[in-house]
Amino acid sequence: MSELGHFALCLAWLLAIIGTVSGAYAAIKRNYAWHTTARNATIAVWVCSGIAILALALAFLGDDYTNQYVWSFSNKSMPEIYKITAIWGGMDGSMLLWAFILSTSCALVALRAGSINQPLLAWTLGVLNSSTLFFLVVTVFFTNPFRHIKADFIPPDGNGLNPLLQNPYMAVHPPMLYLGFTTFAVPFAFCLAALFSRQTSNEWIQLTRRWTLVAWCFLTIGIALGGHWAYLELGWGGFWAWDPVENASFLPWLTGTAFLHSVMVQERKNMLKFWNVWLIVGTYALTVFGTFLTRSGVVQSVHAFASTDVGWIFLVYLGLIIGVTACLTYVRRNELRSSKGLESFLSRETFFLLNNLVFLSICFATFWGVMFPVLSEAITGQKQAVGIPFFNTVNVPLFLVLIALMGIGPLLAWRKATIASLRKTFLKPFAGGLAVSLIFLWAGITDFYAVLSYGLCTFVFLTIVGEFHRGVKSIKDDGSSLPPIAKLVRRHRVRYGGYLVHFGVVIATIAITASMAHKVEREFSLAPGESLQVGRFNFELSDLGSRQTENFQAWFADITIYQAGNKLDVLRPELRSYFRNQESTTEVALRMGIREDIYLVLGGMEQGRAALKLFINPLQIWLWIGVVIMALGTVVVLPAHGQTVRAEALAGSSEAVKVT
Amino acid sequence: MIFFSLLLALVVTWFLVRPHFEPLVQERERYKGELITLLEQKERYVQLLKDLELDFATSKVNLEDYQSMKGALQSDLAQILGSYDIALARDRAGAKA
Repeated sequence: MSELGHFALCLAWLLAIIGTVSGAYAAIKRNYAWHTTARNATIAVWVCSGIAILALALAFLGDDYTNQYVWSFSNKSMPEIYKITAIWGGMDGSMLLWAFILSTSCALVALRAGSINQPLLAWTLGVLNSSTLFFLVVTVFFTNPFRHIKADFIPPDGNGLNPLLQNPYMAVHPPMLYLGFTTFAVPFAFCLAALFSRQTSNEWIQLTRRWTLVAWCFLTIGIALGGHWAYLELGWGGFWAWDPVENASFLPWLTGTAFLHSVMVQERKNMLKFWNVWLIVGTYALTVFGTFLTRSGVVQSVHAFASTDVGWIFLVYLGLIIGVTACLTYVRRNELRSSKGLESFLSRETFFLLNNLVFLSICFATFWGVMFPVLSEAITGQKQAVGIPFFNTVNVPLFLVLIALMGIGPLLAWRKATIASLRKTFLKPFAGGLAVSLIFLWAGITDFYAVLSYGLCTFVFLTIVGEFHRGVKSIKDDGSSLPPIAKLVRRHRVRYGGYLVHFGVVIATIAITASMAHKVEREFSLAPGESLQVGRFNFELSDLGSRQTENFQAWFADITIYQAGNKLDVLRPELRSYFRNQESTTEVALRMGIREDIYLVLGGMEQGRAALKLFINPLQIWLWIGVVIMALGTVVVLPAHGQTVRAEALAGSSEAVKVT
Repeated sequence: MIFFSLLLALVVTWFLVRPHFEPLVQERERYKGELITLLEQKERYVQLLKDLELDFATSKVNLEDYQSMKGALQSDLAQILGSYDIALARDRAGAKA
């Protein structure tokens, strides 16, 4: 099966070359037959890379240790689910998965739009195939997952997967991130196609709106799942450590979010064309940069499980992306120039621009923090580490500015707002925010950023409520049985779905603020029968012991938690030692709650005592709920009329053109 | 495995070469694709008009802006509908042929 997988992979590589060349040729010559060839090649790349990844999955499930990659990342005692997740446990399989997911997006574009003979779409297919081609070149020539093991015998068992990756979250977190990363290739491709074909109107933005939203949604969920994995698995009580690999996924999220906002200005006011081109190209380039960072080994990270020496090829590709875009934007500079400028500081477009500048400032600060150790080592020979305090000091105030803009922006009028309308819309939310801040100050909370954050979140929440209220009031009765709020959201999905996303951000921000400002952290040791009171809870060590499975030996401590004398729960943190690769891990014991999470880590056992680390993380669960609300908001925004449009077009009904 | 590999290569080659032998079907498909794009554009402009109405109703756009933006959107929409009529006529003519 590995031979077929290898053949399919090589064929996919060849087809990606054909797709790239035929797409460009079809666009230049306006030849429909070659356009269809490009479209078919795109679909065939997807089929062939699908066969390749299926063959690799079967090699893992069949314990085929003649395959070097399978031997390196799997063993017989691993459950089948982890044999599947081992596909992306190392560099070779990750690149193949990346190429497959990217080719899936490309095939969807080809199936959806392949029948249109337009230079824009032919160029898009060309650019998309060139992106897939890059990842297939890496996979075929540098990180081939179908290499045979360099030994004269077949090993009886494999090396096994890193224990930290033997977690259910690893089944969904990397594919979700890759989905986010690769889907951004679609708007990037449409953007370059628009520049190549000189069609720099807003069409490419309208065609890619849904793709951008889907990419953003996947990336948001992927980042959150990564945070949740780190929270459950790494045992330090937090979910985000500004680790280089975490930052690598966060950088394109920041520019992607900025892009989602600034395209609205282009759609409405025909401004920021040049800016939007660079935002989406920057977003795609940052996804490639993220892969370079994760895979090249230039930075140290708790998340970097697959370092190789292929980093240089990513840098070459990055240079190519930036170089081609720079040339194209220079050649098309006249078409990209905005016909209008900002007319007033107090306008929605100004605040969208400010929002973009803040997003980019956070992006730059994070990028600088990631690259500083590398640069300092290159210049001075000594690696200067940049830690959590740097990122928090720089980014926390910027995030708070962003939260403030999130409340102000939607309330402003396009072009120019009047003081009277501002007073009408701002007064109540501002008063509410101020009141909440004062209440927190009165309650003895002295952390400036926490007080400000709670006040700003209240302000934004009240502006969202106000927007819904005003929207519902403007809805006229059309005889439908739907409640006014449902009518409002159905008619203006983008706007009110967007507010739902903002609401999710508010919830997540409150949770992050609470977990940063009011976290309780204690280290202690207990003998069986001993107990310790921390806050409202009493922790009693009820048992110490060990257990053994096929895969590992575990030592555990049973901690009974009491609240006001009542038994609440029994938590069992563990220390595990894996037989195959002699690696040790801590297994966190977690009690999630609406008010707080109780998080216990077993540090060690000595002389009949358990060394424990306790974290009480207030409102932590609301971070994950906030992300779910953000994802739901994105689903609401996604226009749902695609199928109707297709059906109307295929029916050729004249009714379809009636404006309702 | 060699048989399956060869079969895969043959199917893919046929799939790539096929469009060069089916010009009529391609033309018909092309017009259908244009219809879909134009209808999507129509939907988008109708939505932009609805959003503009809401902006005006909730005092986000002043009267002068509202009128100029509405005029520009309606003019673009009229162009799209005109293009749709032409594409539809071509599609029907193609179907008869």
